[in-house]
Amino acid sequence: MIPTYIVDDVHSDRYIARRRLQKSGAFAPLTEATDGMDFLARFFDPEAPRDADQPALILMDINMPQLDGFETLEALKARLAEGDASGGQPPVVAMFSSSDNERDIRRSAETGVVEHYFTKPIDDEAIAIILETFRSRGLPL
Amino acid sequence: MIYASSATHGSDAGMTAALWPQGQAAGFATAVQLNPVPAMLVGQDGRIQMANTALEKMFGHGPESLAGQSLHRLLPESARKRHDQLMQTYWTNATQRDMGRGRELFGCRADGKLIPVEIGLAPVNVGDRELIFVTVLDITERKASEHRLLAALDASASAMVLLTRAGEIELLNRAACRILGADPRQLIGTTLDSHVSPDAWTGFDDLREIYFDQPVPKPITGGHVIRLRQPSGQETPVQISLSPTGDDDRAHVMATLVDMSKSFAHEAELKARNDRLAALSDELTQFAYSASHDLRAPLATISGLLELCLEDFDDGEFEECRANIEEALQTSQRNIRKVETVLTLARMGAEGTTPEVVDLTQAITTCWDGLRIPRPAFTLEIDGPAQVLTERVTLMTAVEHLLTNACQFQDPAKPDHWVAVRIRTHSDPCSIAVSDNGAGIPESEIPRIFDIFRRSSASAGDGLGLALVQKHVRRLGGSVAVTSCEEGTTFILTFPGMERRA
Repeated sequence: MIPTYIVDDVHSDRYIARRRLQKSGAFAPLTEATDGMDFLARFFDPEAPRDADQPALILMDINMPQLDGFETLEALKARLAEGDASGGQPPVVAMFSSSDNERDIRRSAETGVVEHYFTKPIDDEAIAIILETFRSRGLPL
Repeated sequence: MIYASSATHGSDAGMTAALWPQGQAAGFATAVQLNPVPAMLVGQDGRIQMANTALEKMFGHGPESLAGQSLHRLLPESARKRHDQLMQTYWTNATQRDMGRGRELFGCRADGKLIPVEIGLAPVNVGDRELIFVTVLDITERKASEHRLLAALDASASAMVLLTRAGEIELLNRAACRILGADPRQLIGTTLDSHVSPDAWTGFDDLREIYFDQPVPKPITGGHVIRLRQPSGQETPVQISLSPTGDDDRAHVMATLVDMSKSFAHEAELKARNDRLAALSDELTQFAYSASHDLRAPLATISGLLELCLEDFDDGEFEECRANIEEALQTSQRNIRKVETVLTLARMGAEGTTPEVVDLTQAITTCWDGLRIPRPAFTLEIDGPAQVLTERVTLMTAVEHLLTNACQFQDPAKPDHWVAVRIRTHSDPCSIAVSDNGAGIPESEIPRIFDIFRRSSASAGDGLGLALVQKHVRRLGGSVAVTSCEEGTTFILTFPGMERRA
């Protein structure tokens, strides 16, 4: 099972993502964060159970109060580079946004950590692509 | 016989014989008479001692009829008194000089006709007497040429100034007078350099010298603009081009001054318009970007919820299905209002309301009383009667948003909650400050709080309120500043151009 973080300030969007991921049966535990700060606190929580061989999936919204999706990823990269304890394998990051505008797609590519860019609502096709990423790398599901 | 020219004037020699001794003086008189230039010798008493034939002819007098006469015979009546004074002054320091520089001199012919003249003066000793050797040049032709030249120059839209090698203004057209802010009498004889603004570019003199070494037409200021100052202090930016005129002996330079004021004003207007367009374009880009997120977002949410509804319905999960329909409904209702606000925001700037006299104390108190949300303690401070001329709805919409925010972002950890408004209309600029002792805004958030769709994590709003406040305030020619810390937040609306009304 893939430990997954859903980062979104809109309650309904977190709910839709949670339901879709639950239906596929491959993602657990599901952790929801209401903004970037909340996510960082949960992701780097030393008390959180982790599996050193199992990379996490992060579904990251872009437009959020306080830290937006890009700022949150910069903070994540910085803390991972500092060797902040978060578990062994680097996470797989997928942006999921209400917009597919060029500027955000380009910025996502420039982060160096975003592997997928999906527009909301997240659907089964997006989930299949994410699973294929894990499979093709021989990562556990 | 005194005159060598006695052959010309023959029998009249008798009179002059009485005035003129023989010897050296006679030789001098002969020289004067032979001089082809109209000339005369004048005594300290202002009487003509002798005049040569050329001068007699020029003034239309008979041979030797001027000897012993007052100079007044040759002067227009209007100039006589002033001339006597000038002559007295001259004798206190008699030196060789030219008369009439920078002003027009006229002689009066026997028939009363005036002739423009140029006069040269030189003190001479004849025997034991101090006399003045006076040459008089009829410059009628030259004046006519100058007038023709001036008429031609005046016909030109450009300002033109004829300069001597020393940089002195010899002639200039009306357009140049306008730029230099004085009439030709005041300007002729002054140097062009003396009209260059002292705090502007000062290399004009050097460049003119270099120019005379290689006199070919060229823009002397090389595209630079220098500022010419009028006596009133008003300055005009000009570009100067120089062209050589005349021969080597009377080398002149024609300076063409191109008044850049209008061009600069036009450029400034174009730049201001471009800046406004660029700002609008940025705003539109930002709006399109934000709209692509925030107007699509609720539709994506509703779509996602309805897909799940269908699946839940098929699975017989009616409770979940119903909850999601309700959620979708609420999302759509929230966003109907949001779209309306966005449209209001987009229309702002294009439409305004007619300014009216607004009593800020009354308007803000009424606004506060009308808020349909829980309100903490409220104080209003003014520095006097606060009546201003402004767009009531535009201003009060901005103030209402700020008051609503101040009420909504109270800090539950604090025992007392308050909102305070401070109005300043009796000092410049007018300002309205809305303060609260609420939770404060994180420092990192401050630069973005006015961005469209940007909302606080503690807010249930749509992220449009402060964008709307800023746009309204800018529409009224004002600006918004914000300071925030843990003790609370203050928004200050400042209106530099706001008119106070009694």
